Amino acid sequence: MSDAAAGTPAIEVKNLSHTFKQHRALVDMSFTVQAGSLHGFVGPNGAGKTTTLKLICTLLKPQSGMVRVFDHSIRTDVKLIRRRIGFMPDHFSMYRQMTVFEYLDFFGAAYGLSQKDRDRVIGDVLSLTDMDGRQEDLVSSLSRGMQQRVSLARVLVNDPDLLLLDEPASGLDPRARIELMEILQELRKLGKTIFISSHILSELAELCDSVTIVDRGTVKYSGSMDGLLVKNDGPKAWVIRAQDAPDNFLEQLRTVDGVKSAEPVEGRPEFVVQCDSETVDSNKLLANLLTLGVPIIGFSEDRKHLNEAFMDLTERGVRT
Amino acid sequence: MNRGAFSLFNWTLRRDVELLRTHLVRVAFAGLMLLVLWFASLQTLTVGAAGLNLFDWICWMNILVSTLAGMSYFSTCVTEESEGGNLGLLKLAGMGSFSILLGKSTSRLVGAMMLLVVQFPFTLLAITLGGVTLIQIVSAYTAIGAHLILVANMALFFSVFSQSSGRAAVWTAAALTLFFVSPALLGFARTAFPPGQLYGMLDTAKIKSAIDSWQEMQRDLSVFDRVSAALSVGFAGPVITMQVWYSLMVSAVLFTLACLGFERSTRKQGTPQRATLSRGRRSFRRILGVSRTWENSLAWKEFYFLTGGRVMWILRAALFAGLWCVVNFYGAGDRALIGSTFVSGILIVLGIEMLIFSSRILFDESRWGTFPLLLILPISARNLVWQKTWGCLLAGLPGFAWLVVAAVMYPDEIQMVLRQSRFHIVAVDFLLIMHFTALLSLFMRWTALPAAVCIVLAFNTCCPVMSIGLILNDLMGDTGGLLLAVITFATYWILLLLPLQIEIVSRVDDAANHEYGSGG
Repeated sequence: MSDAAAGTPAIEVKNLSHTFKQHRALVDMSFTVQAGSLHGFVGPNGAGKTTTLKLICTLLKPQSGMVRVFDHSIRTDVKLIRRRIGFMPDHFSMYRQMTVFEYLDFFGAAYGLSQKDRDRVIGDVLSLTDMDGRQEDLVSSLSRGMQQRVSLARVLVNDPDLLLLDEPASGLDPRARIELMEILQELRKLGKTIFISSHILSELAELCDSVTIVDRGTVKYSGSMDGLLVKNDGPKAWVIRAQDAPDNFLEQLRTVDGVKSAEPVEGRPEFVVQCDSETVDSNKLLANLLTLGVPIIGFSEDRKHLNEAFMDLTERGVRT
Repeated sequence: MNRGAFSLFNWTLRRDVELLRTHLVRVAFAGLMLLVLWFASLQTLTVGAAGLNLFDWICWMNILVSTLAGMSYFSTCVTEESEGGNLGLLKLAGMGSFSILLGKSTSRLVGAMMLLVVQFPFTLLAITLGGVTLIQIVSAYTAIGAHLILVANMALFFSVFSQSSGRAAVWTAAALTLFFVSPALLGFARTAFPPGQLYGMLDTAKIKSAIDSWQEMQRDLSVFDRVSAALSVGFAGPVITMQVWYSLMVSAVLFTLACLGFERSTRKQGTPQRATLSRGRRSFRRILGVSRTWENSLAWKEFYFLTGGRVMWILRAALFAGLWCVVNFYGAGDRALIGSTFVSGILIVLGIEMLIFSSRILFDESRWGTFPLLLILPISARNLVWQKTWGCLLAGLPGFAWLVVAAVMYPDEIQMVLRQSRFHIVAVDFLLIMHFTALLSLFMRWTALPAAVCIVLAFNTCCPVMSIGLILNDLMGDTGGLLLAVITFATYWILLLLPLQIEIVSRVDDAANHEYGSGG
């Protein structure tokens, strides 16, 4: 039974704290990543993302708290964890004097794959990363985007269950970013758990199932992407867009059954309507609005903008 | 000095001054001097002219360290910038080749000169210990300073014309070795030419005359001859000799050539290259090219990408074969001379190679930021270091094979070399230097090798183990000498090498902390 089917979390972090000399990098951090999900790990520069990643992938020894990867402790099961994860650092650290094939072959052998298995796996990962035909190229001769693909191929060589990617899109042009995201979606379809860190939330918004937002070493939010964008301050609100709305449409809205308040959206032909969610659900509200006789061409939940959510959760300024 | 060069020089010097490491090295050097002085003051009880002995030791240490600095510290001053991607930025800032080279090389030269300056007041104390005069000290330091300038510019020249720091270091090492051994080689050659015509074309007298001229010029340029002369009894000057002028002239020529070739040669620098066999025949590529990765993948990586792989294997084997031919040819049937020279030659070449490998085996991973990639593998840090070492040892296989051949051909001569207590001391020191170099390369970059030599020299000066070993060796004779060698090796292994190995593994295990962690 797979970990996802068994309900075992891919990553479980509890009360994790870490200090570098006088500097507290992580403070009582807790979050969970479900197996088979694509989880975003977002925070401003200096938030503690890299330290957390290093702890999860066993490069750092934990000082206090607990980290479990597929139910294995990073304190005691280092080798077991390393066999099941693939880690891509945030900088282009590669053996650039090797060819692409040699580079992947080297890591395949380091993971103990036989030559026959390596041949098969290298073919597969090159195909997956769209690098067919480039295996004899020297790594140093490849563009940054191509090198990032080779890095991703390297991560996949040992067929890991969990991919830990630290800022994989940094330094890539828009096209290479989109292509990288497409590859990640392919990998999720293959059942991989992907833990991807970034300091740009919008980069991950369409890709991730869940997200953890960190700032100054603490978790500010951890949960589904939908949960992040819902406005929790006050009653539920809806955005309504009407076609050829009459001048008194705002007053009409305020008289609709179940509506508590209605306000126009500045600069757009839209209105935000707050209603009592205990007495009126979205269907009923829409039905009531249609009785006004004005064509409603847009009706959606009033949600936070991604950047707004991010800014609300994190503090201004760069951490020193 | 134009503005760009001055800015770069100023910035590099300021950065150097702000680093705690720089001052620690200087303090350590001053401390070393104090220890040596203390040791020399003890010697005054038993030896006359202790000041001369002390100063003699300091001079040779300075020559050795400055020569090693040429192979490491100076030979990377341009390649390091290009590998770090900064050379393009410097060019974009409008700095010309002259400014860049002057700014980079002068700051390093000043840093190295500072180490000589730090010693100077201490060495004056040698006068009070007796046997040496002020003019001898000033002359010797002037000669060493000129040698340092020559070495720095030679290294700068190779740094400009090499694709990577590793190659620059190898070329500088080769050039310095050739420079130092050329008089001996030519001396052998001179005796081999019969009088009259060679193949009916060349007059051997002219060849001998050319060799004599070269030898004379080399003697004028050689710091060894100059320092030996300065330290001789009754020396009265002059302070500035042909050695100083020649060194400065050759340095100027090398600097000018480096400036002229800078633009052209640095266009492709910074990207690791490797010799390609892609145009060779398929069978040729299969034999000499990079093989499929071995089960011991890290050893494979080091063997092919650090030591040069099978191509270098063949070249090394050919070098040793050539050495045997030369030694045999000039040995004139003297079996003892041929055997001991051949074995010593193999050991010296192997030693230099292994020192270069030890300075790069961990440093390259640190430099390219690849430690996290290795540490994430399901291999312990201990195995990781061992596999890498194994790859380097494989590179020495032609040398080891030739040693076996030599042992079969010259068993008595091999035994004679092995029984010498000097050999045991050199071997242990060599192992210590290798360990220290590998460890220090994690913090000190290209200065690790000279720093390791300094540490081991200081250790030898202060630690009486080796002196006791020598005395016991003399008392116990040949059999006792071998027994003593085993005891000495075992003691050193347990007391020094093993703790160093543990420290290296521990530092490697912790390397990801330093390499990677500045992100979010």
